[in-house]
Amino acid sequence: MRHLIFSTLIILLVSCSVKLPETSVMADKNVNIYPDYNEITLPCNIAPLNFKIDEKGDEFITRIYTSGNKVKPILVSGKKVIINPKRWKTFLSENKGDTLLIEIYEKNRDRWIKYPVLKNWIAPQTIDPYLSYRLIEPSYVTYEEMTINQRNITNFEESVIYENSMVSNRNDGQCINCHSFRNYNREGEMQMHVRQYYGGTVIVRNGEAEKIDLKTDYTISAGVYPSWHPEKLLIAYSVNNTGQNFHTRDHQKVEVLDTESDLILYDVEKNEVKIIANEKNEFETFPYWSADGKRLYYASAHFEYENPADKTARQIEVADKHKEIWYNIYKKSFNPETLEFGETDTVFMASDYGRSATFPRESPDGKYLLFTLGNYGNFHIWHKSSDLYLKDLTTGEVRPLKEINSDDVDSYHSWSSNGRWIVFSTRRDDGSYTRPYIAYFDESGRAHKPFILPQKDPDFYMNLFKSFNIPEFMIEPVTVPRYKFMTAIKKEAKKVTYRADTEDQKRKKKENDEHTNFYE
Amino acid sequence: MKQPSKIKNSVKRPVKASRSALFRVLEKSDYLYYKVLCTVLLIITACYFTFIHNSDFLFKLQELSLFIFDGIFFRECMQVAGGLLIYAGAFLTQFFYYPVIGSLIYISLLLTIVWLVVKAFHIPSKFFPLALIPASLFLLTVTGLDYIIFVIKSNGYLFSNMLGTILLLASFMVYRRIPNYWARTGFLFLLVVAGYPLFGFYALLTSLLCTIYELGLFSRDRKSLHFIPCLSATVTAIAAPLFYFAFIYSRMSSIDMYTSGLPLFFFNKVEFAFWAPYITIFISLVLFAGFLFKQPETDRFGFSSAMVFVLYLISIAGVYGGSFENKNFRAEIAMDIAVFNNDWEKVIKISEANESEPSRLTVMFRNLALQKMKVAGDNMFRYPHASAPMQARRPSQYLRDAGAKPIYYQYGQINSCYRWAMEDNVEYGTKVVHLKYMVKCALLNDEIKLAEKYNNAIKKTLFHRSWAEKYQQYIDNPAQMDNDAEFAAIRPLMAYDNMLAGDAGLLENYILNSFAHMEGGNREIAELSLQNNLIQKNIERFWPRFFLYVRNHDRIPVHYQEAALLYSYLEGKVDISGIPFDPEVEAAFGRFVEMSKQFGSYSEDKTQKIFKEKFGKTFWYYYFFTKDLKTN
Repeated sequence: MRHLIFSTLIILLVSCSVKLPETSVMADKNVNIYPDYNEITLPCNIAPLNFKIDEKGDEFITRIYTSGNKVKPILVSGKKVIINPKRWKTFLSENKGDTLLIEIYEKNRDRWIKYPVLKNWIAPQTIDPYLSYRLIEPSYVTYEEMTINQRNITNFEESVIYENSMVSNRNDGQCINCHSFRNYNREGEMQMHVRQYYGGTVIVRNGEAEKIDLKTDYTISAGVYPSWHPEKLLIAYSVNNTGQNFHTRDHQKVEVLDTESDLILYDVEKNEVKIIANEKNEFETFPYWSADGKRLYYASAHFEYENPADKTARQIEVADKHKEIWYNIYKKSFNPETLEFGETDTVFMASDYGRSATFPRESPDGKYLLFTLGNYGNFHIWHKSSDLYLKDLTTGEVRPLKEINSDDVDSYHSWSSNGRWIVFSTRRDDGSYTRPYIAYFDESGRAHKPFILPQKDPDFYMNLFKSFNIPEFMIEPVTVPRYKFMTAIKKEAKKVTYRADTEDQKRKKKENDEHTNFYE
Repeated sequence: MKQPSKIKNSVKRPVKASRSALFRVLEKSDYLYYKVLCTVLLIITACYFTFIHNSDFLFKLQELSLFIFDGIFFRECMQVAGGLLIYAGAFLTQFFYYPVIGSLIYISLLLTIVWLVVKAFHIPSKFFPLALIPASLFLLTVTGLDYIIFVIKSNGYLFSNMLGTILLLASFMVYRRIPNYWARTGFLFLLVVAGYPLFGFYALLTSLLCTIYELGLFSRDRKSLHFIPCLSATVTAIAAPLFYFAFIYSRMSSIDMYTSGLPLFFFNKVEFAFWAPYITIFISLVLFAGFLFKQPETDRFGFSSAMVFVLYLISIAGVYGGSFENKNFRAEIAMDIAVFNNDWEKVIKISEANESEPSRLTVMFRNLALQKMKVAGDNMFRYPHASAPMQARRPSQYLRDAGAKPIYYQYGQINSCYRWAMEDNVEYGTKVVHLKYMVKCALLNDEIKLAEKYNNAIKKTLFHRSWAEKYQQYIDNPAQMDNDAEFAAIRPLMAYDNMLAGDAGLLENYILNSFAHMEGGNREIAELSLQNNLIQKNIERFWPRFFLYVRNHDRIPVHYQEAALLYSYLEGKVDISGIPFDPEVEAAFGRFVEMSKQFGSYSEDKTQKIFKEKFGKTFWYYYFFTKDLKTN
């Protein structure tokens, strides 16, 4: 015990005794740090930006301070800059709107050099405190251990909402995907899919979890890509018949292609499903509600089969022509009282440019639409050509978000509840593993340089062999314990009822081979 | 509380004159020679079944494992109960990089178990061989493994269960020395509550053993206080895993709650053979506890001692009999290691030495080696194109499981190699050999950052660092890759256009088809396409590739000549008069045709036998008599 106290005192003394060198020479190049925390705008409530200095010096001292000098600077010695969370919290809250400066000194033999100062801006706006994501290897067909996690991004606390291993046995496993929350989980409503073993869709509300079977004889598949209505207990889903192919030479190794897809609306309270859109020769997918719940955005590609009756021929045709499948963005008006949809409006005709647009997301203030644009198809999370684009809904102007985009995949994105932050998944770090990047979006509609979600250990991302999939902001964490998910999943799924509004919708779908459907 | 002391028969009976001298020697110095003899037998068996006979196998097991010195790896291991055993087991498995060193560690742990069994249960000297039985059965848990090594997800398997057993025996010894009921109750409580996350099943089994021991004490002194630790152990052993499962672990499956820490074999009839040694070990340990309450009345070597010795011999025989001795399996593993090292001559040598009917994988490895040595056209049909099944208890696509990474990689199908390395890492756990292939694939694909990611992990291993250092040079300076002979041989095979495809796990079909359908391309691809069309016996695709080859080369390999002569003879469509055939090949073909006419009326079996003798190493024999090959 005495040793422990002694060691602690020594550490405290050493850490308190970090002093800046009295003399130093200015370096003629910028310092390399990982993650890149330079010229970024950070929320005033974000976790410490721990980083690693990627230079070959003998010793390092880092000084973190602000131009206003309202609080004492933070001094850290060593190559890994691990910042005390309490000091960081105070530091940020006292310096809202100020410039955060990072000054790094490097000692080589007896000589200290000082690198040019790194400058970041502390935004006065906060970020939603929680981020949920699925951790999964960038795998192809197989899956084993995957988790849907939630991270308190104001610190480093992370917990597992649910992990598929809990209900799998050695022979049969589950894929869990498409976690989604109503209204940033303010009231604890969530959904996720469980595929294959004990398959179904888990709906969480009122602190309980329940498993639903969304597959009907009249729809293509069970629900796939979800979007919760912001106010009502309604979820719009795409239903897709999906297959997977692999590129033999390309770096974008996986190609997921739909051979057909429609949109459905699930009424949680009535446990009822109805069709939203199922146009012939249209692949409607990726529904997303506007912030006021009066419009439903979605993506759709026009595709006419040469031989529509033959399922195998359809799959081959889609694979052969996959570079000519272009999704456009549309919207339908919605009356939350009558639950009726209006006519379809075009939002962005990507096909006019020989490109494909997916994942439409309207900003919380309704002024902007953020979406992903790639060369073809809908699986932009693997497409190197995929970038984020912004449509100004007032002026109609569409532009690439060059402030954010990289040469690699920039895809799945989500707005914070105040509309000032965007989180998106990108493979820019190594071309394979998606990482959550956060960017400030200012009131003039300009995005700022993004930064990777801070982690306690700066080597975290290098050592992690999992991708961050579907990053979604949350205001409240999921509090339903894992065993409740498990219990719900083990139970028989509650079958939904189907409501047909037209004669056409009363026609049963032909059998779907579940084994060939990627999402079944 | 009085503990039962080691009971020894102090009454020595006079040795009868009729007792043989052998028995007297055995009994000498408290059976010292007997113990040494039995132990030496175990050591010899263990040496034979580890580094002498199974060197490549153990090296492969080490490659199919992973230990990384970092926090993430430790936390990964600790995500299920028994995580510390997995972590420690994976640490020790690395030492099989040098099979002799790994084996010595393994054997010393076996001997530790023997010593602990003797000490924990007071095994009487005349029954000493009993203490050796668990150790010999542990050998069987390794040597009995078949192709399942490619698909079982149990990192650290080689050592984790032995370590668990050592922990069990040591804890039991400690427990027996605790004099107080309440202290023993506390010990058991702690053992389960704190030990379950670290040692999983073995903490629970220890508590069961202690409970049985406590009940034994009760049967002797009838003191109801013995039920306190029993009750505590039972309740804790039932409740603690439930608690940990519900509130702590998310990675652990509900079916593994009470068995976490044991290997992940299926609980079914087919895989019972894998469980059998473990079950026997656990039952034997429980039975051995009987010696703590009843020792034999005499120290003399008698019938029961002889029976114990026979039992020991049976367990040793079980290791010999129960080991998976499949020549193709051994050949494939040795070839796989040689392929990784680009030692093509060794691959050929192993295939020649393999006396059994070859499996598809041995044939594919051999053809790969011939292709790399640029002698396939003269040799690829000089080896039986057979398809002996890959015998394994658990069904899987083992050709793909074992062969996809090296075969795809070496044939330049880099995305497919990377894909299966990734898929297998996901499904069966990250393996060091998969990471190596991922580094190489990423480099060949010019994905330098990705290569660095995998290479960094390999750099954190104990014995694969030097390998990683080599590839770090390529990461730091990609231009250096131009001097890499292995890459230089693969790059020409990568010169094909991107397309969407999927092999559905059918490795051989995919490789054959992808090259057989390629048209044009560089010399390497054109020749490989020609070879694959020969294997597929496709006449139509053969001719353009054959003539392309003839135009670009001075000499035509024997098998190409054989095919041209045969196809021309069969179809009579293509003019081959200008082709410079070797006179010997033409003469041999003449004899082949003559023999065909001569034995045309014979049964197929008989004809095959006759032709095999004379033409067994020709394309002609392959064309007519190699049928019904099974591949997956």
